[in-house]
Amino acid sequence: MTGSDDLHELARQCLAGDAESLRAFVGRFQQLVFSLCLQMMRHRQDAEDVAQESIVRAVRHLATWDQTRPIEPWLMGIAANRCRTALERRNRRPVVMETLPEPESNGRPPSDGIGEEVQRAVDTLRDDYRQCFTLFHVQQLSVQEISDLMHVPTGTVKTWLHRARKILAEELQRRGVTAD
Amino acid sequence: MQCSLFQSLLDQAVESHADSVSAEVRAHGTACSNAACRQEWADYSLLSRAVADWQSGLPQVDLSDRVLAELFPVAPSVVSSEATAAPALRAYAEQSWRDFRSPTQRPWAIALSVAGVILMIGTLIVSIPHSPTAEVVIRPRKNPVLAPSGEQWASRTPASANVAVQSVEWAQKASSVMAQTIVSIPERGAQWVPGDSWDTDWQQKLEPIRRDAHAAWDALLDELPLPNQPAS
Repeated sequence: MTGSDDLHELARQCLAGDAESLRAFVGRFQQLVFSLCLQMMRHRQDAEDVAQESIVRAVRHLATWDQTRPIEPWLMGIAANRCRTALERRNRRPVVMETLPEPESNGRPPSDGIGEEVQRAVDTLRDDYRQCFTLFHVQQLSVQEISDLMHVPTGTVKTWLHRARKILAEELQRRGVTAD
Repeated sequence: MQCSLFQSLLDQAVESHADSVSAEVRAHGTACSNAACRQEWADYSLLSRAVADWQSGLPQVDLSDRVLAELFPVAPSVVSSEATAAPALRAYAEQSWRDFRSPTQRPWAIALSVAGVILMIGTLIVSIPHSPTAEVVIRPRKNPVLAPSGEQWASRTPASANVAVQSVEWAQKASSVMAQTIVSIPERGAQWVPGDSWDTDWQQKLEPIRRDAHAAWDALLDELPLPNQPAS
């Protein structure tokens, strides 16, 4: 049985309401969903809430997933929409949010690991670049899948990805991160 | 390798999630005299390492319990194994729900509804003896000073007196049916009653209420005149 068959069977059992299958489904995709939510929301608790909301929504609408296509873009689409809605809601809220740490000042050598430096650099990206970069490098979606998900041409996705990578590379170099 | 080809192959490697590039591309990136090519290669190398580091360090999360709890807020049997902590309570709740929906349990629900309607109609009819006109007839029984004259009673038709008495009797019967129905519910639903003496306990608990209701109706009947007989 292929991975695709496994997934279809898992989806069928989820639709039948089998708790263990639902748990397996959540376990299989929660990290992908949460990673996207974290990059878009830039706040851990908000990201968890939106990821939970996204997965619940996905399970409830699992019957609408076109099983001839990969499930990841469909899931990421739900999560991205939920994030946008949550961001709009959060922006209307007149409270100061505790967001992820702001980027460090210029020229400082990295005090943490490279991963943390990348995260800080990713946080400086504009929203569409950041979402595109995350979908590509964390969710491992293809350019075509991101294009479908973000409703932009593939050329735009390539441009965003290229620019995001360029900005990140410059930012990392500026922070003293090297390839060695 | 030309610089344009190098650039194209590097872009393709990135866009296809390739783990590595060919030796020719690598050689061109490190040795090309064009600074732009060297910079492209430096960026690619830096991001290849940094992004891999970043991916492995992304925060982990476990949303299973939260998601399942939201999906099944009222159906603990399918949530998780932890939810089996109170199997007796869950079984009782599920059985009760099945009993409620069972056709065998419908008669008592219907009986209860009918009894309620009868009681309501009876109460409305009973209001006749409590009308101002009727009170003139009834009160004098307790207060001879205000006793109506025989003419006054005679002016009332025997039919209206009969209606009043019959209405009270109807209401009394309705209350009896209702009390009996309430008591009989556990008997019919004995299969979902958790304890053996549950129905007996309830009958005992309801007995004072039934007794009080009967006493109240009896008192009311005593207040009414007998049919075709004036109050005196």
